[in-house]
Amino acid sequence: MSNMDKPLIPDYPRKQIWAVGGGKGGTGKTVVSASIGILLAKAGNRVIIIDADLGGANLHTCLGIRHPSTTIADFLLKKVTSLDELLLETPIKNLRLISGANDFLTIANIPFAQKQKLIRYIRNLNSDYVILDLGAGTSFNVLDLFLISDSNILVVMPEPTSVENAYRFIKCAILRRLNNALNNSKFQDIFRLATEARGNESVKTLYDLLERVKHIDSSVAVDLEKKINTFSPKLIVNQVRENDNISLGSSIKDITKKYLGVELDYSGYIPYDEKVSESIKRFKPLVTEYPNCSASLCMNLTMKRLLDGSKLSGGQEEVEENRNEEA
Amino acid sequence: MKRLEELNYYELLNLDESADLGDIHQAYLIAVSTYSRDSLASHSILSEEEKTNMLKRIEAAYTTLIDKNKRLFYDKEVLKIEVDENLRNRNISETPGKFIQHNGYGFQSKRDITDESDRGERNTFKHTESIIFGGAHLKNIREMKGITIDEIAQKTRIRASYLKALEEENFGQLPAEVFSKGFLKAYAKYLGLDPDVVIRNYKFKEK
Repeated sequence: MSNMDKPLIPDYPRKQIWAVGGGKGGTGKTVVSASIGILLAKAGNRVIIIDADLGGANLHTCLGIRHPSTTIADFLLKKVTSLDELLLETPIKNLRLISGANDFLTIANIPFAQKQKLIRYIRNLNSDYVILDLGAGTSFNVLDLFLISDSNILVVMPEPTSVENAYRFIKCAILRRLNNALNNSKFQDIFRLATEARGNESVKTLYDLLERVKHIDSSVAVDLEKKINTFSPKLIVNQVRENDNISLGSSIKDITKKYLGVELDYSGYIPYDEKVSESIKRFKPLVTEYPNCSASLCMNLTMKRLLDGSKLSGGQEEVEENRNEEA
Repeated sequence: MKRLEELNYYELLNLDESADLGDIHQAYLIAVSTYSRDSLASHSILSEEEKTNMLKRIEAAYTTLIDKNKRLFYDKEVLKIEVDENLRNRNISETPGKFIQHNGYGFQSKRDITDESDRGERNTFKHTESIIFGGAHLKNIREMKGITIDEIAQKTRIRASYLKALEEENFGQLPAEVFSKGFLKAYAKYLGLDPDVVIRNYKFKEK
């Protein structure tokens, strides 16, 4: 129990870790990560962006670096002793990259101890922001990197496969979060049921899971509920085309809340834009190469929402007050 | 956390208890599109049965909340909440303005949707706020999105004159309703609207 009460990041220098994930590949996680990194750096923050797409790295290309000289593999293979030695300067001031390219064959399956070490070193990086560009899928490596972050960003695009994987990703992430918070074999069976639940099985929702846990130990259930309530990933709907339903983000938020028990924060959508692929073909970052294209502009607005996330509720209250005065 | 079955009408529609009629309409339209049969958001995660059940509950929630007396009764007797009379009065007095504003002619300006500085979650749905998708309203949405009739005609292969007739609700120039409905569906889809919602809310008159 006492483990759960400890803060997630104890004594390290205060910084923000943002992870960008979302399950399916090809939704634009890398471009979104790069854009977020660049926009934060341009606003005067010191930013380190890490290509954590172990096994499928290409973030360096989006930032205009063709052949990264050092990569995260050097750290995992113990060629270097700290992540600091891997920091690459990018064309953007204040933005540095830890590349994942040139990875060796088994990098996508790093063992537990190495992952723990990597996480520890990521938390120790000296920077205002650390952005993690995650790979596809719901492997424990991806989920754990997603979960160590202060801000969990999900990138979804308006296609059935992407939406489907996003739900799976959210479900896996919350179950992993609860499982990490609770290392007790007493509950393993319940978690297994919850992970495998299909159709009409008993542990279909988090609510069922909590009920089951409550039967064994109600104080644990209270703690778990807290863990659920404090998990609020940010949703970005990417590559939205002219005739896509723009309320998709709200719909996903609604379903995630009702059926998965997780409250998403819908941070905005980014239209499909030819300029994105053009910028990649030119080896130039989108938001610096085409700062005024529709994707870049919407990226800026989404950024604002991501940054205002915590202040937003205060802002809404102000609006409410004004309305009352008018009445 | 609440079990799905325990959600009250407000929670079902993601509204708070002070929601006014405009909020309720908007929430209803989003909810219907979320759980409609070909909804992208719910296709993988919910069964047909779950969607049908949810739609029934949404319908019940909507018909109650939209009716002043039913809502009062529900608040008092079911939810046991104190009804703030001032709040309710405000709703009533605001309502007519809201309807007129979004029912075709009163869209403030083109900037509502296209203005980049305001692409927030709340603002992007302005065009779904009205309950009736009349021809004039559809035309407004189309113009706001900067789409021409000819463009739709080209992409959907529906004669431009028919599309125009749909916007003008000129039923004399349209073929039988069953065909016109198909046109309207394609038209709505092209505009990014939920075709089912549009069809349900567009009144075809008898010829």
